[in-house]
Amino acid sequence: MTITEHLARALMWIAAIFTVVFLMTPLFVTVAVSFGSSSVFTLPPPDWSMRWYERLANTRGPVALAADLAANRSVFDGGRAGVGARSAPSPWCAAASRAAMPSPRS
Amino acid sequence: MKAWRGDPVAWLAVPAVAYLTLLYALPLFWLLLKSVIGPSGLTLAPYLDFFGDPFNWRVVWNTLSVALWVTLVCLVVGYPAAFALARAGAALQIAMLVAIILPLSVGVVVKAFAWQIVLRRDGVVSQFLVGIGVWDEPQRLLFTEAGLVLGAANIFLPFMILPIYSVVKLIDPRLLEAGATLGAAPLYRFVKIMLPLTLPGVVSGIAFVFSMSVSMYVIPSLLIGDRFQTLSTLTGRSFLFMRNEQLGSTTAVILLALAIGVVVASGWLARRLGSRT
Repeated sequence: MTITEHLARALMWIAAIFTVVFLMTPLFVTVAVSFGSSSVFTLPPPDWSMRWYERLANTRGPVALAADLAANRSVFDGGRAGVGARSAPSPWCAAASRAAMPSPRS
Repeated sequence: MKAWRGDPVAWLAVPAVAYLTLLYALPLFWLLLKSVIGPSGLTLAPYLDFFGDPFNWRVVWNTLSVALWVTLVCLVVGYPAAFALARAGAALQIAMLVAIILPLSVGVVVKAFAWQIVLRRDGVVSQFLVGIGVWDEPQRLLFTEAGLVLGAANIFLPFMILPIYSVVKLIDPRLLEAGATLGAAPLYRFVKIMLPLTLPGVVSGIAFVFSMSVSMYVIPSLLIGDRFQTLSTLTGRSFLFMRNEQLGSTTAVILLALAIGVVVASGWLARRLGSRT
């Protein structure tokens, strides 16, 4: 192989590895931040914790969870959405009604 | 009864055409109409006002320069990466495919927030550049044009790699070997064989990335903020905050004209290059 071919091959490899690292960066950051203890986005976090996942497990269902995340907990603290959600006949109904509730933060 | 002799299969297009006419063409036409109708009939005043203000020229320049930079970064990184994807061994190929496809399943908002963390003064990019000695001290990349280009290029890079990859994959490697046996040097082989054959993929990649980055709204809002206006953020602002529908329609039509210009020009370029080789 000539020097040009070696250079081209090296360039290709560098581009390939850079692409993998570059494209995975935001996903890696998102996952890493989700294991942090801080309530604002920081990296590296002050302490590793499962608090966000515990919070996730304590809610009543996957749809309610997504809605709560979107509404940033204000749904749970009563007020706006509480009425329809709590008097709903079944948990699924409650979840659906909460999911349908638009929130200013989402 | 034989007046219409077209293929009956063409009727299958009716639902799609009806859908697009009702929900896409009509609102678009209404938008165009709104930008040229003043209190006293047809007028070009909104366009004259728009181009009479130096701030708006700045907005058009911001839009085009960011889109060009994003396209350039994607092309420089994506072209060799597409070759690597087509020619790599199984392990690297899988890693690259995962890295290209997986981010597409994550929303733009999530990725833009992740870039907000990465581009901070104490973020990964700043620490890396200080570590290898490019910068003397940490600098903030968030809310700068360089940060915006980096974040947008990250989000649009798959749309550059995949069209080029699909073209490279189909190229017969024996063509290069034939060139080599006939005595062509590697660089000459690349310029005369590889480059012309990959150009259709490059053109469609450029058209994808440019038309998406010229009209992006969420990424500039999160990565650079209101200080830096582009045509799409100005359109959003004039509809949502300034309640100036005429200005919003005008900027939307100008943005649409730019995007159509790019798509038509790249299609023409692709046909020309295709007929030459």
